[in-house]
Amino acid sequence: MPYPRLLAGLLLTGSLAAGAYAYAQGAGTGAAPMSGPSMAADTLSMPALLDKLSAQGYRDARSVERKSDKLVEVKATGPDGQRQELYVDARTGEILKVERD
Amino acid sequence: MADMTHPAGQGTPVPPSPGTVRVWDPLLRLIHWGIAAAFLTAWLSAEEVMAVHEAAGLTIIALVGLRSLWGLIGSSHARFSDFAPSGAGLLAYLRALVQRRADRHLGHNPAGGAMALTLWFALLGTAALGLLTRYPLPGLRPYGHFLEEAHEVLANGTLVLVGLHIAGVLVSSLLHRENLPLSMLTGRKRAG
Repeated sequence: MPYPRLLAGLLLTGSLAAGAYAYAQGAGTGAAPMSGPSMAADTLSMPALLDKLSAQGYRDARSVERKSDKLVEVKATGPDGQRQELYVDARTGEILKVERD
Repeated sequence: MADMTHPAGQGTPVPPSPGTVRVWDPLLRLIHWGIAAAFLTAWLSAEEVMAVHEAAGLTIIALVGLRSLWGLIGSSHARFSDFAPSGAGLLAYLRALVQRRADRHLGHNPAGGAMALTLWFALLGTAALGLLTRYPLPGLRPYGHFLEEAHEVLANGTLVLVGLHIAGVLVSSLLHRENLPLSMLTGRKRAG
C-alpha cells in the first residue's frame, strides 16, 4: 500500500530539507543570523540605517540603541549642527521623530 | 532524554510481566519522549531564550526525520503501514469509539495513528517555518512577519493537537483498562 510510504517519504524529505537548510545557515551554532535574537527578518542592518541618516545630513552618531525590532534611537549631530535624538523606523530608516538632545 | 530508554534497555532490571508483549521498540520510545521534551522546551523558551528555542526546533526536525525513516524500516508497530488509517477505517473507529465499543489495538489504533501522523507534520511544519523566520531565504525577506505569524499559528495548533493526543490516550486507556503512557515507557502492553 503506497500511502503510508508516501507519508513517510514526505516527512523524511521535509526533515532532510529543513536539516540541510539549517546546516547551510549555520543554525544551532550560536552564530546569530543578525545582531539581535528577536530581530525581525526585514530589519535594516545598523550600517545601512546609519547610511540612510548620513544621506540626510546627520553625522557623528554618538549612540545607537535598538529599542525594539521596529524602533532605533540614534543620537547624532543634525544638518543644522545641533545635537539631536532621532527615533528611526528600524525597517525603512525613516526618521519618525526628532528631539533636541 | 537518555534515561527514557532505561526501563527497557538491555540488562535493565525490568522483568517482562507475564502476559505482556513488546509493542514499542526502544528507539521509537526514545523518539517519542524526545519529541515531547523538545516540544515542551521549544514552547517554554519561545521568545525568551532563542538559542534554546532554536536547538529544540532543530531537535524536533531531526527526531521527526528519524521517526519517518523508522516508519519505513523500523519494527512492525513502528511502521507507518502498521497504523496509517484509511479514511473509512478512521471514521468507523471514531464511530465505534463514541459508542464505547472501539476495538483494542496493540499498535496505534486508527485515531492514534492519524493523530501521530498529523502531529509529525504539524511539528515539522512549525519547526521549518521557525527556521525560515530566523534564517529567511532572500526572496522571502519581505514576508518575514507573515512567516513568523504562520510559525506561531502552527505552534498553537500543534499544542492543541498535543492536548487532543493526551485526551485520546486517556480515553483509550480507560476504555481498555490499560496504562498507555506506561506502555510508551516500558514498551510493553497486555497481550490479547
